[in-house]
Formats: sequence, C-alpha cells, structure tokens
Amino acid sequence: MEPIIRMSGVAKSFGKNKVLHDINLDVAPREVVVVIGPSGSGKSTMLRCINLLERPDEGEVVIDGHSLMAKGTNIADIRTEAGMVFQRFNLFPHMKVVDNVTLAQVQVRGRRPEEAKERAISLLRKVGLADKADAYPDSLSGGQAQRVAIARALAMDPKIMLFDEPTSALDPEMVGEVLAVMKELAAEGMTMVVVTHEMGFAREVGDRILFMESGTIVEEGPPEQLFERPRTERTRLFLSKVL
Amino acid sequence: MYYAFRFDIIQEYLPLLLKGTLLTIGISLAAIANGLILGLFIGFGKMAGFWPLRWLMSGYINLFRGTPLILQVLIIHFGVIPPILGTTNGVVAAIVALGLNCAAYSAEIYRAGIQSIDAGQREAAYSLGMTHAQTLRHIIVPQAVRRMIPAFGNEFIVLVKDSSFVAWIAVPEIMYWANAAKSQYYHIWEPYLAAAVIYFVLTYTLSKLLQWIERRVK
Repeated sequence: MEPIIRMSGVAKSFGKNKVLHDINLDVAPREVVVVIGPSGSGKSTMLRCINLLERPDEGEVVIDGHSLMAKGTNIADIRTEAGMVFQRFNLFPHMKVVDNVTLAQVQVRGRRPEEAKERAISLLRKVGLADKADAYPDSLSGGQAQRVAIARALAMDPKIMLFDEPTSALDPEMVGEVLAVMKELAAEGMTMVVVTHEMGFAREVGDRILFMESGTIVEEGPPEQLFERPRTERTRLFLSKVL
Repeated sequence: MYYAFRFDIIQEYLPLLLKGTLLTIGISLAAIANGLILGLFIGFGKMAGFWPLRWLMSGYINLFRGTPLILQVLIIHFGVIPPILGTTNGVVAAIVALGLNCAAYSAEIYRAGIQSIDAGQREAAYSLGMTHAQTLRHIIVPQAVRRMIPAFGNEFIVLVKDSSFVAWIAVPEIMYWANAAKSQYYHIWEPYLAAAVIYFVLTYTLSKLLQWIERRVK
C-alpha cells in the first residue's frame, strides 16, 4: 500500500546542534505509530517536520502523495489534512470551546457557520464535553482542554493525526481520559503518529513502535518485539529505565 | 508672611486657559491618531524578515526614544516644517512632533503585544491549516490588543502631559496661557495651579475611559 506519510533522508539542525540525522519513515494508512525515546532525542522535532512546523534542512516529506518540500506546494492545504495535538493544548483562550472547534472549519474548510457548529457539537459529544461548549478554555481541567484540542483537530476531518506528548502536561488522574479518546480514534482506523512516554498506551495501541535517540531511529518494530526482545543495547537500556 | 492668592488672575485668564484646553485636546488626539497608525507600520516593520527594513525601523525608534521631546519639537518647528510649508506653523509642528514621538513608543507596544502571544497559539492555528493572515486576524491580534490597552493608556497620558512642551514654540495651549499669566503678574501659584488642575482633569478622565475600555474587552 502507498504510505500516507513518507519521510526520506530528513535532517534538521538548530544552529550547530543537529537534532535529526537521516530520518526515513513510511506510515501506512490506518497505521498507529508510537515514537518513544529519551528527552531531546528529536521525537517532537520529527513529528513537527511532518506538518512543517519545523522545516527540514535536508530530505523529503511526502504527505498523501504531495511533496511538502516542493516549490509551489500550498503548505496550509497539507496541514489541513494533518491534525496536531500539542503537549500544552494551545487552545485559543479568547474563544469559547465551541468556537475553538468551529473557527478553522469556517475559515479553512469554508463550511457554513451552522454546519460547522453542528460538527463541533457532535465532536465535543464524542470526547464527552458537549456540556462545555459555551465555557472558556481557562475554566477547563487539563484533561478536558486536551480533549477539546483533539476535537478541534478532528473537526477538519484530517487524514492523519499527530500527537506531541499529549499527556505529558496532565495531572496523573487525567491521563486516562485523554488516552481513552485516542484509543477510540485508533480503533476507528485513524492514521496516527504519537510521541509519548506512556508505555502502556504504546504497547496496547501501537501497530509499530519507533525508538529514537540522538536524532536517529535506533530501532523499530511491533510492540511485543520491541518491548520484549529489543535488538539493541540502547533500546534495552532505555526500556529498563522507563518500564 | 502670607501669600495673597489672587483668584482674579485665574478669573481673567480662564477663558484663554479653556481655549488652550481645547487646543491641547485637539493636538493630543491628532498626535495619538498619527502615532497609532504610523506606529503600526513601524512596529510590524521591526518584526519583518527583511533586515534592512528591521534595521531602519529600529533606528527610528531609537532616535525618537533616545532624544528629548523638546528637542524634537524645536527641530521640527524651526527646521522641518518651514521648508515644507514655506512658513512656520506651530500647531502643525506640534502634531507632527508629538505624533512621530508617539509612533516610536506605539511601535514598541504593538511589537511587544504581538510577541507576547505564546508561539503555541500560532502553531495551533497553522496546524489547522490557517494562513499567516488568518492566524494574525483571528488568533494573535485579538489576544494581543487586550494586552496592549494598558500600555497605550500610559502612552496617551504621557502624551497629553508632554504636549505642554509645545508652549515653547508659542502654540497657545494650556501651558502657553499659564506662562503668559505668570509673566504679566509675576505670580507663580495662580496660573500654574490652574494649569495643573486642568491637566489632571484631562489625564484622570482619560485613565478612567481606558479602564472602562479595558473592562469591556475582557
């Protein structure tokens, strides 16, 4: 099957610090790829190269057949197909929850406001927050805010969803509610790339696990293989610290 | 020894002081309008990717912040306006000088307001497929404006008070008439206290108005 995400030879530096070396990654439609690894290993930077929040210095990123690096590619169009959920939610604080989920549908997808609002309410219901539609983001708990952020991304009907440590800023008792929504999404067949420290989630939901360190993909494989029989010493060492 | 406070001096000059008040208000409003618009371009110019523009705008801001306002007023009145208009014109020079000065400070308020918005807000908007212009209009500016209002409030109040410098170029505003009364009667307290009361009423009203606006947009 044609991959929906293809990264080939992607490299990225911040100043003199090279954070990604020659990353090659294909993600198939409906696949859930979970990226693990120590802090500073380049996981988030790799994820952010997929929707060009970071621009790779070298290499090529192709989303659903469209090259992101080619001149003339409309980056905004491609970003519309790749929803992203951030560690710190990044809800728009000056808008009600429902307007957070509606704005881009109207501005980017060109939907009628009533239609967009209907879609927003149904997505808020899906994440269990229909009753918060008229609340402002700062009245939400972290778990609720992150579920709204997921609804906001889903409202664009993206083909892929990118999760950048979606539970790392949450109090422990709120992690479960966010992971539950993500599991449901995976079960529905959404293509997902998830950067996380939640090893339980990785093992249960991931079709494939990538272990990254020092800007390279050290090892990848199905969860049972990577967690039970890691091939490299570096993976073994990392897992021994986090499991 | 006691000071014989002569209310009759204030009484005599009151109509002139009130006419001067209208001129102070008019000059201040015109200068604020100029400063806000020009400052917007300078502020965005300073954030531009094109370095010569950025450099030029920084230079403008540093020049107007780094030299005394009174010097700017005198140079513009005697050096800049006459070659353009063919004659001196105090009111025009006052509006231009105060406006250019206000633009430098306003530019920094715009820039600081825009840059105070967390980068995550822009990234979230981009990740939803919004363009740079849509992101500015719907996400950045509405949040930034709220943070700019108190800073603009300060700037406007400073401008109203600093407009008193244009008495130096014989613009007949509040300070000009207070000086005239002092020179005529050699009395300090009456004219200057009257002027102080008028300035205070103006700035206090302005600060209340801005507080009201600040509450409204919250």
